[in-house]
Amino acid sequence: MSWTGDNSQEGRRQDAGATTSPAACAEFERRLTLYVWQELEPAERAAVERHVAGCAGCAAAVARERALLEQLSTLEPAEPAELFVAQCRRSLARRLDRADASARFWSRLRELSRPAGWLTARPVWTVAALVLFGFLAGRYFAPGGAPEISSEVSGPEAGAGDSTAPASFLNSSITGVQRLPGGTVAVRMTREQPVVVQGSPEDSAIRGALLAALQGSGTPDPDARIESVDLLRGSRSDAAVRSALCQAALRDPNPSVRLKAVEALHGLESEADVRQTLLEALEHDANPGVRVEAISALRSFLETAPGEDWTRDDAVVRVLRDRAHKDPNEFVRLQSGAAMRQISSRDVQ
Amino acid sequence: MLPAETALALEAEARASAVTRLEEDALIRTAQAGSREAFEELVRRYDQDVLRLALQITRRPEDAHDLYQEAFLKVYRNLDRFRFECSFYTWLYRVVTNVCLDHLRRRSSRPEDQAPEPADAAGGAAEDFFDRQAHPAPHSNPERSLLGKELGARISAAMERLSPRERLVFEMKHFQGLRLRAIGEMLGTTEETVKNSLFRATRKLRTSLEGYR
Repeated sequence: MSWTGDNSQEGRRQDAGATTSPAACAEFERRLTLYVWQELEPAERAAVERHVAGCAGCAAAVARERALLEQLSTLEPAEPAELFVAQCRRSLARRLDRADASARFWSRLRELSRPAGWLTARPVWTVAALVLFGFLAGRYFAPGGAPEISSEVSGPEAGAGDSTAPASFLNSSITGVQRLPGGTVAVRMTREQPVVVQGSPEDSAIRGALLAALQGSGTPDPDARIESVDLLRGSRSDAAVRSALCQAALRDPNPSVRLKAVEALHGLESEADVRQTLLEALEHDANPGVRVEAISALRSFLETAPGEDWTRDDAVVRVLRDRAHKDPNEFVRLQSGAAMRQISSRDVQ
Repeated sequence: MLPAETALALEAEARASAVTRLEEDALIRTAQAGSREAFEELVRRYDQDVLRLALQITRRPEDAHDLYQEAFLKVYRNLDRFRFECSFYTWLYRVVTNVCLDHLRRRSSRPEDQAPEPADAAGGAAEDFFDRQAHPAPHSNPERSLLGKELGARISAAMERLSPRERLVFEMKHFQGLRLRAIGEMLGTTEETVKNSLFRATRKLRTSLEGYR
């Protein structure tokens, strides 16, 4: 029988002969589909099989359903490539960082607004507090009412227009107060002020700031660290930059930054510290994307630098062998195995 | 009564499954307590299945990437709402299927934003997409793939005609091999409703492919 897609009750009735009634076939229409998809309970399944055994029309319908499933199986399922998975994970890590930073911001804001909530819950105290605030503000800001502030401000901001305004002292840390002869007082303070440094990425000040973003406490914003890595890539022949990139590749808490740093080191594998960094990242990094990048860099170095004797180093062989057998990521295992074979063939030659 | 060996094997399997479940529960609790590492481990356990479904549904890596991000961000933000009343996999898929359904509904309301047509004989965008983003399945047979290319194009076009829910049920059943009961739990509906969706999807596909062979 050629397949026409006719699964109608009429079609089945014509084939069914006298063994079954049209009503029985109608009852089986939906169940035949579920039967072929293997989604019937055993009792229902047995009932369908009994019916189909005695009904040529329904048997043909089952055959058509099976043919359809076979056709549908020609469409192969999409299997995400390892690199694509790694890229998705990297983007997710970045979005999670942003979500965390945003959550921290709102949590801080809630903490700051807590006293306001306390005041709202106690109207009498709220009124008293507002009256007191008004009284103090009046005393402080009314003409002739505010305490005198010396106009002599020393230090880098001396002479700045509003640097002596009371509000500008809020972000200051007072490190000393001293009574001076003549009834005046000297207050020593340090202030945290935002500073913007602007210039070409090659400028030493900019480079210093970018290096600082990657080192020590650096910046809590991973996007800023990623940007720093990217900008420092242009100066990576500088030993200090290379060292900072190596540190970021191994120590940064954010896998996207580590990955970016490993990428930035690509092409510098002839440097011993870079090779060591790549090996360590390959061996210890928990993120498969970073390990993929590290083994890719090492492999391309093996291909472009024949005769390098670092491959005879036991540590190199140990790490590659270990990853070839144990890495949970298939790509890393395959590439590590290929690197091992590359080294072995070179040794034979 | 089961033979002794079978009973022992089943018991060992059940025990191993219980241990895995306990491990996962501990991991989820750690993630709920705020550990990013634990959450990322959970992502690594399941994200390939999620990405496979997203690729299958969208047929565009950019869209699959977006669905992946959206789904896991929702899971991250709502992880404290997971009460261990079902498996984490089911709960995760509840989120993922909602995101996929939203995507399909948006797409069906914007005809200009349809998935690319599968590759023609000359090779088009869809071929590039699969070449770039997908490994051929390990059991794939190149000859069969070649012969099935035209049929594949017709099936893909036919699937675009399914309703969002029918499409999702079909994809989850056919490509992910999930039971209809599990799909029902994930979609927050009854097994009966899912059976109806699969039945309707199959009927529509049959009609669309009518006379092909």
